[in-house]
Amino acid sequence: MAIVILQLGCSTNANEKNKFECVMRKVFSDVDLNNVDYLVIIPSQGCGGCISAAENYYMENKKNKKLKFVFTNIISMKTLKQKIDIDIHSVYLDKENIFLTAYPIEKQIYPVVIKLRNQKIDGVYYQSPESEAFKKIRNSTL
Amino acid sequence: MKIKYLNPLLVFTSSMLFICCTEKIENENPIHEYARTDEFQLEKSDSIKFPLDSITSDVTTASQYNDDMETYSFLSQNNTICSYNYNDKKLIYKVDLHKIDGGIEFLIKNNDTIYVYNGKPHSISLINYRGNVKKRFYIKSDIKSFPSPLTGVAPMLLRGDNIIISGSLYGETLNDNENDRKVSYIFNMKSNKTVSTVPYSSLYYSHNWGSGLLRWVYSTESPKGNFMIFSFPADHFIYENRIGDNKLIAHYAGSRFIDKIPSFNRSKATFFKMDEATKYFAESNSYANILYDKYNKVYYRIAEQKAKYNGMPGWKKEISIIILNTNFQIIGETFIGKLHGTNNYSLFINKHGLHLQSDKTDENFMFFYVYKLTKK
Repeated sequence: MAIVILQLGCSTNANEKNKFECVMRKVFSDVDLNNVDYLVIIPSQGCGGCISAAENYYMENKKNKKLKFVFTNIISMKTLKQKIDIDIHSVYLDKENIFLTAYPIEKQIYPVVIKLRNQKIDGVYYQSPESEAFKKIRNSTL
Repeated sequence: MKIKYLNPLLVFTSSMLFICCTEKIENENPIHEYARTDEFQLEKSDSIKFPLDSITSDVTTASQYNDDMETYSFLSQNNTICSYNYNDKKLIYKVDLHKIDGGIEFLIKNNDTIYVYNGKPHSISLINYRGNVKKRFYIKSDIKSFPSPLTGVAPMLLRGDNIIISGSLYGETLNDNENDRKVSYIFNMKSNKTVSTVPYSSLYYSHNWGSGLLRWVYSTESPKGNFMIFSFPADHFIYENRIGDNKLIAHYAGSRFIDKIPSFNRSKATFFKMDEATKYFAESNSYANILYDKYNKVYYRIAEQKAKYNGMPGWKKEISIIILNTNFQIIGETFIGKLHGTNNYSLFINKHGLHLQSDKTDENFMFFYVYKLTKK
């Protein structure tokens, strides 16, 4: 049954939340997600200001065990390593762009904050010029 | 005025406003056959590579070939200018730009005279190859809207005490006009005065081009010395401009691979979402760099063919290169295909030919294909 649900979630017709749930399950185990409140996905290419905001958020919070960070659509591993100090405990480098497949196509240029509750996705929030997900986390309004 | 007349009047005036600002233009390519011959082509003759160190990637946003020094330099993603000897492909030096908080574009005159433009704040730093700052100029705009380059696709030019900087103006505004928004300015290093110059071509003031990438400004110097050439992405024409003058002299330079470049069918007053803008640009034909090849006395203009947008990784436009003689007659066009994502910032010309950044994905080298101009 669990496999069926997982497969349904991964199908192209699944809703956004299910798609993110599906790829999250492919990459992280329950142990990985234990006590994690937010999963932050940061593409390397797209909305420059939004990505800078996400990278700054990562630099400020990389030691926070309630957060996990995924870097996706990585254009240059060398540049990424130069820009951010990669913390192996909190970072997943999505070299295969698995997380990107869960995005709606038009949103792939934005970082996304996934709110977790009991290891399940509770909400999906984009950091874009119209919506400031990181500000909301800081103000605890997500 | 009676209420019964007021409503239709309001509807009429608001409809007029809507129509005037949302009118879409197809912008078809006139394909001036009479102005086009097919005598010349670009032929791939060689490939070269510059080795990169462990912290430098093959991604850049500005570069320069210095003919006198025979060096190729590019701006790396870690705030350094990496300068290579072209002949042996060895790294000569890295200029650390951290002292001036990084840079967006640069111009190397010699090892002791390097100009670096920084957009925050608008400043030009004069440094040497050790990164020591000799002087810093802070630039103030003389008009309402000021171009701020994000990359080096419109290279800085030095003319005596003047530095000429060109850049794009993002966003669509209803009151766009040639006096308030200019794409170039001349900064005099002695008087610290700025003179804004060069408007967008008229197409840009009347229609919506998606706020961003179709508003990029590409330029090059002209062999005439006191002229520059501008290429605007949505325009089939290129423009000659006498430095310091606002007049644009149009020359047809359209691609045979491009049928039309329709504007976005929306009012300039509507906020453009970045995701919509990216899709619109990817699925539109466009023009990019204009370069002058002084060895062959020709211009090269890059034409980018529309792609299918299926999300961020993967969409890349195929390009062709239009070849024009110094009388602006098209004398050939060569289809190239897909290149590296930063080719528009890294490409250069020297006596060996036109160097285009290859799409090889090996971060240990910067690869280039070398194209030579040949007669068919």
